[in-house]
Amino acid sequence: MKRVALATVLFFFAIAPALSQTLDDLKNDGKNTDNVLTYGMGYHQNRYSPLAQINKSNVKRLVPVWSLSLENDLGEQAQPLVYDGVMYVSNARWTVAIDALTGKQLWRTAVDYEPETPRVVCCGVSNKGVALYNGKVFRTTLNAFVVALDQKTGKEVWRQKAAEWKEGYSQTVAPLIANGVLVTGISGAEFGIRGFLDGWDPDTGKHLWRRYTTAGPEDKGYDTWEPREAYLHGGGSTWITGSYDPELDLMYWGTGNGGPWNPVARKGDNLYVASIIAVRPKTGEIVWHYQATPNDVYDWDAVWEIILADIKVDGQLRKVAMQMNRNGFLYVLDRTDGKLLSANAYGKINWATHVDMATGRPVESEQARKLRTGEQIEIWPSTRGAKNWPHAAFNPNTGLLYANTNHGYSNYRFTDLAPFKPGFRYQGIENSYAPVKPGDLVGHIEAIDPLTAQAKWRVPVHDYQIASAMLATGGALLFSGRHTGEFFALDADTGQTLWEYRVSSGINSMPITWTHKGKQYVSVLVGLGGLYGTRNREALKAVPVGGSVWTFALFDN
Amino acid sequence: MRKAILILAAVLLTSFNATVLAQTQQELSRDGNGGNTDDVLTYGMGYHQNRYSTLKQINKQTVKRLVPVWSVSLASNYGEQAQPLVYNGVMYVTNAEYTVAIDIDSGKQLWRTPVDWDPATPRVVCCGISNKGPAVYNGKVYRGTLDAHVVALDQKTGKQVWKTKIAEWKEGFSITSAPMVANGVLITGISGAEFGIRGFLDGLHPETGKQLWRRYTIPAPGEKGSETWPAGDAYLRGGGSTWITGSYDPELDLVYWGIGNAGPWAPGGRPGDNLYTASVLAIKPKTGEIAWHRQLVPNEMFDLDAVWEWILGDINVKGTQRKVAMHFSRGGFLYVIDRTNGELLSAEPFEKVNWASHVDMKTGRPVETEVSKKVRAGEQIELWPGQWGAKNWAHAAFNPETGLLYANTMHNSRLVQFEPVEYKVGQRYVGLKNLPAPREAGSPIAHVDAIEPLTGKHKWRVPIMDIPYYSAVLATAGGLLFTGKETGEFIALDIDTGKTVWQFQTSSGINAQPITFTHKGRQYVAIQSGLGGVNVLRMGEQLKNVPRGGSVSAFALMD
Repeated sequence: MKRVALATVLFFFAIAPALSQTLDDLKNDGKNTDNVLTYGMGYHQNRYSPLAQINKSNVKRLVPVWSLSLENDLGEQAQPLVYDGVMYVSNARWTVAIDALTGKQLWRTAVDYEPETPRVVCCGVSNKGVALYNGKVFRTTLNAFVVALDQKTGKEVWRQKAAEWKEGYSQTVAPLIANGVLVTGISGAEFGIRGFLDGWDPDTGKHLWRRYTTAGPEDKGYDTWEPREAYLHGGGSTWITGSYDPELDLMYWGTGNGGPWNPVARKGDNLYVASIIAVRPKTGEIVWHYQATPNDVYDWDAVWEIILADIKVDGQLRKVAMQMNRNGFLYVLDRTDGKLLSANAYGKINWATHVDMATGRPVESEQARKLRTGEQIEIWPSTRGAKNWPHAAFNPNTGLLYANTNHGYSNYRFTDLAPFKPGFRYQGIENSYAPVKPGDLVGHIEAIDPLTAQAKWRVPVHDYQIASAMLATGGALLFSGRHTGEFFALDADTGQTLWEYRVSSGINSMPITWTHKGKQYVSVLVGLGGLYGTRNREALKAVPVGGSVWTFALFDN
Repeated sequence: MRKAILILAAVLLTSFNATVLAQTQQELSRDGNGGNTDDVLTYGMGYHQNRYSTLKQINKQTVKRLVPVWSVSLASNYGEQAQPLVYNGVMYVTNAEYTVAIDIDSGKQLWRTPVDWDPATPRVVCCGISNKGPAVYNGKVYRGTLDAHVVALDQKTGKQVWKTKIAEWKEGFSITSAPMVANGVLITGISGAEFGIRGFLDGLHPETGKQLWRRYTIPAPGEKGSETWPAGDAYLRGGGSTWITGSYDPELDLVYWGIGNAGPWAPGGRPGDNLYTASVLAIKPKTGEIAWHRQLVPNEMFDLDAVWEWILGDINVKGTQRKVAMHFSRGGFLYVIDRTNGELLSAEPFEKVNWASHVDMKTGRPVETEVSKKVRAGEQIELWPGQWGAKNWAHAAFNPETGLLYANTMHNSRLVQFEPVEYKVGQRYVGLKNLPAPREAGSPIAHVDAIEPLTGKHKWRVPIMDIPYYSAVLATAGGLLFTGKETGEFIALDIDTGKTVWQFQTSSGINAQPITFTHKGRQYVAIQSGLGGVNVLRMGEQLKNVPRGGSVSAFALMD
């Protein structure tokens, strides 16, 4: 018995260095800057790198060192990963391995999905990235399959169906490896799905567990659905990758809006939609939950990045999870137990007056009541949210969040809800965005104090909202990109633009930074697409489509 | 008197127009020839197609500081082969799907106009769905379309001004070549000699698109040269396409346009020299009249197009300065011709050739070898050069300072044998079984060469072992050559040694034509990237890790 255990241990040691991306590697992501192994540049999703070789004083010398076409016109939203000098990139059509130093494609594997699948995709035919673990590359497919590829060759190792796309399910989310389990989310809350998380065995693809995000008869919270059966189409998709605290062994996933948007068929709080859930990766058990928007009727997804940090709250260092929620409040929770520590508005809000700190519930406004009685209202923020999915960064040294936020409203009302039909839109609302004239303010780039939600600085954004994630670095820089193709670096202390480079298409993705042989690189996917790019095609007609990866480094002479 | 006033008014109006609307004929004539280096107005960086620039801000010393300054996706996966043009701070770029105008300062797309063609058209396109570039003149941008139309767009807005059908694509005609404006006439070539077409050049009115003249490259019965064709209708399918833009000498007012292979490739059904296939024609742009011709390959049978660039230079030949036209022929001989009258001055091999022993300088005809005799008798032979020719369309550059030509040349052979062929409208009409020949291990497949025009001798050559370079060469006074690799590297070579001194990995393969120009005193180099063209079909396996995806990038020195 003892001998068997020893053999196992030895075996693990033997294969760990060779096949790599061990759990320790993943846990320590951000420490070895040669690699970027996790979505969010660390399980904490801080999107912060201590690298300072590229900094305020020399960023003007940042130049492209290579680019590689991704042969895809549908849009690029993914965050690349880097391991051992190889970059792994995904979009809806391909998974690609690239020599990170030269930009040469090493392999490229096509993703197979039925051409009709985009019918059930609400928000752009895209993919947000891959996961790496133990010699394999994992990704999801538009038609709701989870695929494992051999990291060296790109050949498919296994493939599992997560759900039936014809019933409205799709996947664009990057998978997460936590405590040896491959965890994937799902999209489709505009199509009357019942959201869930899946746990898989990374080696075999065996399905380990499913955790539905709408409580059914067996679950706590079932009584928050009225009528009860509404949970079956109740939404709660999980379309952005969660974060993970290895010490607490808890994953933090946000859950999406309630389905249908129109609440006529689902009275009650509707757990666990529009919530943050803390989940055990081995079992899928929900350890705690916090619902940001009970009975969500606004598309207030709570799926945006949940940023983990240890910060001082009332003089005490707390393990927190922070989220700039779509609904306009910046939530800070104790991530050990889900206790609400603060919830202040970071943008213009009129659907709620504030969050009641005793109950943790938003206090709906007169406007919200009008909406619920059938009136059309001008709702702030718009249904795009005070911030959309473009992820914020957190710098643990400054204690500030850096984000691309939105400023705008929707004209919004409920309409008759057509009966549920599998694979078709199930919303029952009418929504139109405020018209944008040239020069109009549409958002900000801002540095925000998590507990007060006050902007330390904010830079106005005009004409086109920015839909790229933020990357913060030890060089006191922020990197992000515009739909119009400018990849830019800002002074993290002031928001002043210090550098920009016009890439070949629009940017709607997630920059990373990494090192190779002591040199710092910054990489970003380029390619107009996504919801905003698609909906604003006419306004963005001067931006050509066409996906590619760009890598930048300091010019050395 | 009244007439005089009208004439005066007309003159004033013309000069007024010239300043405002621009790209006057004069500007075109001076392009690459003492003109404003801010502009690139002609295919070949000058009517002479020297692909040489006097600019030297980017030079051997500074090229290490060359970095990309912007890039624009061209939203096409078919492949990029065009040469961009630049006028007044705006770059004009084409591919098979779009015409695009880009602001040089910012790299912002100003407008983009889609090209409309029947999705079935690629069936009649032999060698890649592409386009080689626009022409600009008098406020308009001109281009050919895959389905054999010529289109004029408003230079400011990209809106279509006129569109003229040149030929019926269903009969095998297509256009990928860049049009040319010479002496106020817009001239376009045609493709399709693998589909049994009868080639031609068309002269169009640039303002209206009205056809001014057509010059068939195959004479009709009774016309001069018709005696080189058998009686009957072989001439109607005789090939002679005109798929690469000609050069132009404004002083002589002659356009030099190379003519493609004969159709079908198998020569059994077309005994005779088959004028004007595999020839160069000197043409009066106003009328299409042939001033002189020189046929390089009589009764051509190996796809030995004479369409590659005809480079105009004034060089010393046996002690006398001569106005010459120089041409790397697909068949492996480097022709130097007196461009005033077509006299052959030299024709030396620049690569391994086994189909002809030499060119007879008295008759101007290649002397066919035993190998050619065997293939004419129906045998399979190993033919040098191979399927690409000793050089393919990737254009050479000529540096008038060094007197040398710089070219990406090919070094391979193929196994060929004729087979029966039957004509069907819009179908392949070739009649040649064409197989790759086994390659000698360790032997280069291609070279980058610096070549002396009159001897065909290499000043230097750089062997290429794996994938031939398939891009045009640009030479500069900075002592540099620019070209690109199908694996995506945009490269600069030392013009004196061929050594690669700089490179940048672009997003796809390069199979296009670099240019250089100035803007606000800064020298730029630009290139389109986008794997495509015929070589992808041939070397798909070697190029499997080169993704498709078109873009154009501009480079300048880091300041």
